[in-house]
Amino acid sequence: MSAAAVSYTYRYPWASGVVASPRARILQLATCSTGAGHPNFFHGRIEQPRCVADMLLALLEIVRSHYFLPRLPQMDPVVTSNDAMLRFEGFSGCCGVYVRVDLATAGIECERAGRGTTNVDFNMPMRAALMRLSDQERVEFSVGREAFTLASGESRVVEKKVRLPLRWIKGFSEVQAYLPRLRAVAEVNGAEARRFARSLPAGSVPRQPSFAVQSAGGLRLSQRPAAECAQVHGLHRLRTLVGLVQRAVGLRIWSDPLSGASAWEVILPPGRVTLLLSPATERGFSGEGQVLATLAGGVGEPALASVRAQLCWQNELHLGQVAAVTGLREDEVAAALAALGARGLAGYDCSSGRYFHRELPFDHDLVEALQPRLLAARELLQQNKLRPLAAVAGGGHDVAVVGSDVLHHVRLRIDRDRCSCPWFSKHQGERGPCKHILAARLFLGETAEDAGA
Amino acid sequence: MDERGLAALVARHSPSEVVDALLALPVDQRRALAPIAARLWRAVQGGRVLNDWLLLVPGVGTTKESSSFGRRWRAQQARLSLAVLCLCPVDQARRVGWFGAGVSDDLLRRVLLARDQAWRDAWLRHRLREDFSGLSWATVRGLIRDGICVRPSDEAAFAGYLRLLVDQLSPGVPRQGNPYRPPSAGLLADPDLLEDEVWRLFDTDTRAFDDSWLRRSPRCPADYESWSEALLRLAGDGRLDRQRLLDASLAGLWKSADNGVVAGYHRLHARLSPAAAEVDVREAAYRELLGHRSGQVVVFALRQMTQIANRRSLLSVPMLAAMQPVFGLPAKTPALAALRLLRRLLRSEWSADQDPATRDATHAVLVAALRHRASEVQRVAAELLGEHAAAGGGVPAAAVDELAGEVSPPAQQLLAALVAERAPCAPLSRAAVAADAIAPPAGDAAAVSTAAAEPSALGLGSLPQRLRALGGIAAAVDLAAPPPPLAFRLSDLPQLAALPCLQPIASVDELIDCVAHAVETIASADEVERIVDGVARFFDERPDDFAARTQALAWRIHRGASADARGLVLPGSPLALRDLVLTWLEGGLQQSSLPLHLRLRGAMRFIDRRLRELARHLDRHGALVPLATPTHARGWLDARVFVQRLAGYQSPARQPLFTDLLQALLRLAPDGRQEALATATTLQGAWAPAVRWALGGDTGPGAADGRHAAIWIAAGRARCPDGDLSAALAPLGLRIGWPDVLQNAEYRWRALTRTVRQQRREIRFAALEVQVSPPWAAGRSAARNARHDDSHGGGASILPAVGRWLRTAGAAVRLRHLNPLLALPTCLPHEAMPHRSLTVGTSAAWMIEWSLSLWPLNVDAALAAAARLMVERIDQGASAAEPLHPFLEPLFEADRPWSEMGRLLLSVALASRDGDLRRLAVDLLIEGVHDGRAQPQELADVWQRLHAGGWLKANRLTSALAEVACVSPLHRWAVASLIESAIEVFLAQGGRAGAALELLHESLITLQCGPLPATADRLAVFGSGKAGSAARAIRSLVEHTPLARSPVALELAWQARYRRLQRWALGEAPAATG
Repeated sequence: MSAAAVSYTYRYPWASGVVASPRARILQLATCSTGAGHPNFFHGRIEQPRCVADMLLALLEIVRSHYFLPRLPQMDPVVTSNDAMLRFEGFSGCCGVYVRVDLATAGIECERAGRGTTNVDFNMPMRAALMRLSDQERVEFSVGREAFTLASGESRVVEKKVRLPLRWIKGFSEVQAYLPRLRAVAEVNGAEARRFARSLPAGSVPRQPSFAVQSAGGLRLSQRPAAECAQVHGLHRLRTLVGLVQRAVGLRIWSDPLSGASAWEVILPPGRVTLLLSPATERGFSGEGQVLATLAGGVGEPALASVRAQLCWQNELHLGQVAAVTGLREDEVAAALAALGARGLAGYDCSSGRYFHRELPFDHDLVEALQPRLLAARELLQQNKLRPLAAVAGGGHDVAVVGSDVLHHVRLRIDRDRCSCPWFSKHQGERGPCKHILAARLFLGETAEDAGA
Repeated sequence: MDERGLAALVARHSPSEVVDALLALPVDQRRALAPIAARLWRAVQGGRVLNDWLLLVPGVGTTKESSSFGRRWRAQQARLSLAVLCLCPVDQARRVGWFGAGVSDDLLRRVLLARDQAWRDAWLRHRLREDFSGLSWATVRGLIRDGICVRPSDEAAFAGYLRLLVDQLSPGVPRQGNPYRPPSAGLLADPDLLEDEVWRLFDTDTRAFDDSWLRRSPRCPADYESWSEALLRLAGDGRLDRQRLLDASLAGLWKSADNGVVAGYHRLHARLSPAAAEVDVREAAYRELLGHRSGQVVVFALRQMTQIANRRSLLSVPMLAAMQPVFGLPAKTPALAALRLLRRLLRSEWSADQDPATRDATHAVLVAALRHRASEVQRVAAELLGEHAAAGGGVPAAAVDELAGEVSPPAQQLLAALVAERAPCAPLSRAAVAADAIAPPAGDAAAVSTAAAEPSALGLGSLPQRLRALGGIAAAVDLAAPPPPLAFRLSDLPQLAALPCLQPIASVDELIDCVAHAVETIASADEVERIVDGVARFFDERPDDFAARTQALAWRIHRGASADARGLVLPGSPLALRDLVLTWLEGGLQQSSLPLHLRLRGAMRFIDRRLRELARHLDRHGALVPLATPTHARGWLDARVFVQRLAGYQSPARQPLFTDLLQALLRLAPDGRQEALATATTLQGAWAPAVRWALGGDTGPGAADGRHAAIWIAAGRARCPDGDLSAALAPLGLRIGWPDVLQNAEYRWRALTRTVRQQRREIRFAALEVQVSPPWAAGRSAARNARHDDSHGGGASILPAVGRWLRTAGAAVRLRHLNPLLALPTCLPHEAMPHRSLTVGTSAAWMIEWSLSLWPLNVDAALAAAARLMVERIDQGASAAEPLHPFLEPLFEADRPWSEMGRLLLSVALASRDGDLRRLAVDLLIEGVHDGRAQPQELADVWQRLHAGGWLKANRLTSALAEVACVSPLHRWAVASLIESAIEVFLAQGGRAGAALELLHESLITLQCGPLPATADRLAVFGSGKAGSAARAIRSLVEHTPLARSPVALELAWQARYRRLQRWALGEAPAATG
């Protein structure tokens, strides 16, 4: 896990919280200022305040948890607002659990002032205030609106200077590689979801992966895989479900059998909460390297630019529509969206099966520039540590890469690249290409360009 | 002043002289010295000391104040801290920290007064944000009181300020030279604190009100006063506003997420003993607290509301609305408390002919309670709903309909009765409520019973007699009783159809990739066998770039394991495997050995031996096709493939490797042996008759076969894995009394608690004693065990040891093998393991799988050893270094009968704290019930014998059984039968038997059955409590059908038996026709 971090300042015009007005209580979330102003997204009444509070508390619990090593996470979630949805995204401190709260705003009477993505202030007093919300009172919800309690011009700026771990930024791009691969393996109603949540072990959890399997009696946990099952490593990462499913209408489980990642989508009346669990407790999404090949130049820049030009905070991006406008094929659009997702410019909603537009409020160049494996690959290239070996039939290439103590043998093939280094030997490409393969790919690309020139 | 001058000042002068000298310097010189001071501070902080020549020398280990170096180091640290304060800008001063605890307040004030206000405030703010500020409360308070610094306003610094107040205004224990001063005295000495700071304690997480740990300390003074007591005293004396204190303690409950902190607040509130009027005026606040997410706060709020209800009536609708969230909490105590209050209110105040709003709100609360996870809460809610309905409150029909699948059977039964009663007036379908009640109505049950009573209805009569005998139903079938235990042996049935085939490695390329992966991590023993097979077959194939491609791989193996490698470089893995791979990679025989105390034991010894023999052969003679490579998962070898492979060993120059042949014989699957025997008739070689006998041939060994006795024994064990071969092998003239050689092993076991005295303390630990007959008595470890046994028996003697040695030597002569144990691998799994931390060969799942694949036809010896290991770790969590769950894997094979060792292993695993093991055991029990191998009575017998050891945790068994019961009615029946059969195990828990009894009760209701009269009598011991009420509820069902006659369960059990026999019949059909 990368321990590298960059200095980052969250700057909020006031602290988030719940305040009382003569008309209603207002749950107001402060948005992080960008430049001179601060984004103002939404203001409206919420129907089931306690349920919304449960969703936001679940988000808060996860972003303040660390499921692997005990470290203090301090990251505020990211909110994306568009015409149909408010989406709050965040990670646990270890980056092993990605959480997204989707609040549908399409059907409710509200004042929708803007669209965009930014951070929102999540603090402990707000947590206390959220805990007090009940369904019996009238509650309004605002994201970024001018604080009700503060007179104009009497701003009380809240600044949080944090060391923003790079894993947090990298995690956002990595999950976009996992989400499109998930497929639904089970869907149960609220009663069954509650029964299943109660069966989660509270004490000694298994170290080996467990599997949520469907049996005659409903969902159950097993230590043995079955045909349609979701693998979970680290059952303690699912404990948030216990509180969430109390009012759930349903639970949908998604799984990627190849990687072992799983998503748990709790469907509630006001929206959905999705937890995406990394393949193993000790593996945060940030270190997965699924997007490295894409960042190393898997998709052509012209296609990327033309697809990017079509992004205008859509809640759902239809491949066909984008393809029609850009003149690209649908698979090219999908590849370009995946690449934009890797750069933090799009998110994927597995429930709708479509990408949505959001731009992470961080320096996008960091996503690419601070990938250690990509950096190391470029360094290998810069130091001329690659040497082409004999040509291989069928369009393959063999490249020798000078390692720290030994010469690594990289075999680039159309179906699968391989390397003799320990990283690749261990993970077999499951966690993305190693630096040697990346360097070899870059090397071949450069060579081809030189030949073309 | 230059760097040396500053060093001299710090090393040789007093703190006041340092301050005087530095403050006297002009500003630009102070600015120039700032980085030097910071650098020096860092050096000293890193453990170095300025010596007399002003050189920085290492001072690590000299920080004890008792030493002169230590004193000097501390003094220099304090003086440098002062120098930093005098010289550095605030950003730098913040980075270097503060270690001037010994510096006097006056000196610190002088330094701070020399800096501007912003510098001082920023520095203090930063210090207070740190976990350890290095400042005392008196210093900080003095700086603020005298206006030298401003009191910090930001959250983190103010929390640090309050932390200092709590910790140091009145330290709970007297400190050297400072007599104990209670906090009330400290607060009265600085009355300004009573205006604001005291109230802010309720806004921040502090430990002020959580001092229970201090009261337990032997150093706690007799006149100790807690913060709660101090505030109570001050409120009593009128120095604090009592009403504000009551409100603050309530408001604080919402501000903390820490259970200890909120407990302090509500306890303080309770200790203030609010008067009736004070409680009444806060009714809304208490009511709001019912929505708190901490159970203890909700219980507190309910207590306060009960107090109010004792005096006057409560507003029904707001109270009911506030109650709903209580049932979302996982704990049942608040939920039960809320229902108690509700019951009281419904009986006394809120009459049944309520207004519609109250009635609807009551229904909503009871429906929420019925959704609670605890069956006890559900039951009470259902009772209350019944009472409410009886009083004219109606039934929320639609909501109850929705809940049908969610509530526990006792609550379901109550709801069903309620619905039946209310049917004429409430449109609620009985079918919906009973949807999850498994048992059909009485009429349907009778129909099922009639159908089940006819064997032909299930098709059992049409099955072959042999299969019926194996299925335990050779005689007349009584479908009105549970199916008898299965009566098949592993070798009676084909095994391979249900197992995945192993695909051999196809090329050198693939082999290199597989080995590279295996160096880092190995998924299964099958993968290792594929690699061994690949190395043997492709040993001679070396492409031109072989060295280049394998260079990194060989380097990695030589470099050894990295921290997270779990593959063949994992410490504890057999070195022969590593040597074999290196022999292939680098050429030339590689041989390495482990130190004596890490020598392999048990099955792994033989595997190691086999790999070494293979490596020697490859080095001398080149590639070969190994005989023992499994064709299917879990080590099974198809007999037909085995014979095909033997066909390659017909020339006199090409003989099978001895250990390879032994291993192949022991891995022979029961499938296709007749076919293989027909092909094997043409085989030539001294070993060929033994192979034919192993495959089922008629001709056994003769007197002349003594030279190949080991092969004949292996062939015998392949032919008859669990029988007595003494007669069949008598012509060999062997006199070897080791288990699973001539005679099959038989086991006797008992659970016990061992007591060891260590450092004048008695340590008790769980143990399992397994005795094998004939006894294992070979080799050094056996002799050591024998000595151990003898010492317990009190008859130590050298003669038996000599006798054993002579017998081992005799066996060596007769088997013509220097180490007879390695020629008789079937007895090796009985070899005693040393203490588990020294056990080599069980430190990864794949190694355990590999050792189990030595003799897949009989794994009882490995299971017995595993049971001992599991008992040793019965109260420990799952461990990656000592995995135990792979031992359960063979028992998942549907056509492997559960021997006594299998049942023992499953029972121990169900009671283990190891999450991997216990959860896998739950899966195994579910499978066993489903396919008929889990017989409740057999398992109950094992549990009762384990219970005699005194360490069996029945609550773990109960939680495992609760999971099993949810799967199907058959599983629920098996669970109920198990609990009833092993009732003494659960009753021994006393009052904690409630969970098991509740599970039994739920199961009996679901199956519409009752307990046996003997069980009901036994349950009479419980009078009160949760166990008592569950026992009473069970006893009330005594008139119902006993479990053994449950029509639904019997039908399902017989159907499962029929499915098994039918599957066997289908599996045999091709063989029969062929």
